[in-house]
Amino acid sequence: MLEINNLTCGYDARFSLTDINIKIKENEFLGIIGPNGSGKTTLFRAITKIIHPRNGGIFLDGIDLDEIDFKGLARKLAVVSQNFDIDMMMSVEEFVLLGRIPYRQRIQLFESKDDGKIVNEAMVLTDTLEFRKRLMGSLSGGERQLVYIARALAQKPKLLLLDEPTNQLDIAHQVKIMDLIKRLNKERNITVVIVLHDLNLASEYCDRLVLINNGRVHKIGSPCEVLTYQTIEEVYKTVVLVKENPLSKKPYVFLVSEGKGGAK
Amino acid sequence: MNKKIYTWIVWILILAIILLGVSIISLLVGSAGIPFKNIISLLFAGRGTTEYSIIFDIRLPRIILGFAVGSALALSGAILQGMFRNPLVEPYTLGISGGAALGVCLNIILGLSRKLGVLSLPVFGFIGAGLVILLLYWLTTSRGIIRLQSLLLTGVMISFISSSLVMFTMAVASAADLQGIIFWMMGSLDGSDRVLIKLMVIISFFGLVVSCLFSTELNAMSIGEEDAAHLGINVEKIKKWLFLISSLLTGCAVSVTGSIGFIGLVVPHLMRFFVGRDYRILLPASFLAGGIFLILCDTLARTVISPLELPVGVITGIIGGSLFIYLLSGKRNKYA
Repeated sequence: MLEINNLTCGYDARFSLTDINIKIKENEFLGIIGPNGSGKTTLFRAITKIIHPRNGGIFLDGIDLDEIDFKGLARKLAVVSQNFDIDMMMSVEEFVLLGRIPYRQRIQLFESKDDGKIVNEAMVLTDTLEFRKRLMGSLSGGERQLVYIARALAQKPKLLLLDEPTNQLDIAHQVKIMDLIKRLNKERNITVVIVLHDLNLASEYCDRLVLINNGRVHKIGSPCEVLTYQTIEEVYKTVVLVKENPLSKKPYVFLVSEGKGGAK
Repeated sequence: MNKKIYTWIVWILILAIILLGVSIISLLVGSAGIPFKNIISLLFAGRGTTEYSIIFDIRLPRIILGFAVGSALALSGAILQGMFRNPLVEPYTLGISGGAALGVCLNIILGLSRKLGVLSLPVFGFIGAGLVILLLYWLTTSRGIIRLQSLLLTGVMISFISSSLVMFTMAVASAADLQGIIFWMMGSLDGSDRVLIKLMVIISFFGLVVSCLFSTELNAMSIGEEDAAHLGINVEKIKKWLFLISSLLTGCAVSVTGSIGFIGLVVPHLMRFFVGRDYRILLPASFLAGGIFLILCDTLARTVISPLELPVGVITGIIGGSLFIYLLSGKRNKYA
């Protein structure tokens, strides 16, 4: 579905990402993890064509992203970013309707009936229909994140890209958001690429993880393969304890504070 | 969704009716008051009379120009505010008017309008406005992202530099050119060339049609440039188009009537308060309201100390500035 081949890119002369190779399969739930400044968001921005490759390329369904225009890309790929600097006086419904922009013709000023139907469906799926008249500025962090996902769904994407969607949310909202994304992945066959800081959420929900460090892919594999204490210690330079979650059988990372012993 | 469109149509109708009312009042009042019932008879049988001449040769062209310039400035303000996502941005605060003024002054002192014709004035105004926008864009953009914090300050500085350069051109201008510059700088809708009026009307409507085609993009840009790109908007390309339209509108407006401030700032604000923030209605509403506002201000400028006349910029500044302070202080939380 999405293939990143020998990608090197970054800002100015400095390369933030070097020689990245990742193949994302259809219907996969892929997590991107790594320390702060490792290049996760740069990779995210490269996939969304905000920054351009210096070397290598990114291919969506076999077509080079450079050959796909912004509109064409937005019909296949939707993004849930961390940008909250939006017009807070916009209503939730108006915000979700923005997701239909990729389908609007140049001289089409008004939404079609289909747009209304699709937006409604996206809001039902994300449980946001009840506050469709509220202003974006009046929403809590969790509600706002659901609305962002609704807008992305209104784009009818095949691939959903999310940049730390659980950031600053309480555990109940984290689980609600991640369960929703998992459901969309399983029931709607949407391929998911998600940047996560929380290693345990990544372990619990992702089929595969890509661990990025210093702008390079450090390891790719299942959560069991990637989330070992040696790897985490090496990349994050901190002591952790990794055990198996008794319910999901996935790795669970425990933090170890200073003076409480080494890694086990 | 249909309800939204009906509401928008109602707003457009309300503004159109107000525009008609204000235009009729402006036709009738002035140093020579003319009763409303006389207009119809003058229209059919009044050719050659003084009243006919006052209404159709002096006041009507002035109203038409007032509408075209007011709507162009308000539209330009609405576009720039949307593009920069900053409610304080307008052609005046960004120095675009200053650039246009400098272009016109250079044209006058170089004697180009005499050689190239009166149409070279808006062309130079447009070039001046365009150069300021490009300079502003270049100075405040890094990695394709406009640094809003430095934007206004840079705009204000460019505005100061332009004013200083305008003063420089005045210092070196000949007596005849100086008179031309001062007359133009006071800002007036009086005595403009018919060709310029027609051109201004065409440019205003052209600006409205083209900018409305970008209303979806402006709506998308209200959630940030990067997120707009995620929605399939080619942000850099759109910004260039919007820059071009707003400098065309401002440059022409300023070069025809002189610097008239506050319309581009206040009118879009006021309209946002009434019709909402969707650019599909905000652009046409600002367009109509800008026209109404300038016709109204010009009528006041003609009548307040009649038979003498005030520069219209004085009235737009006083009314616009007071209105803006009121909006900022009292109503800010409702719409800003």
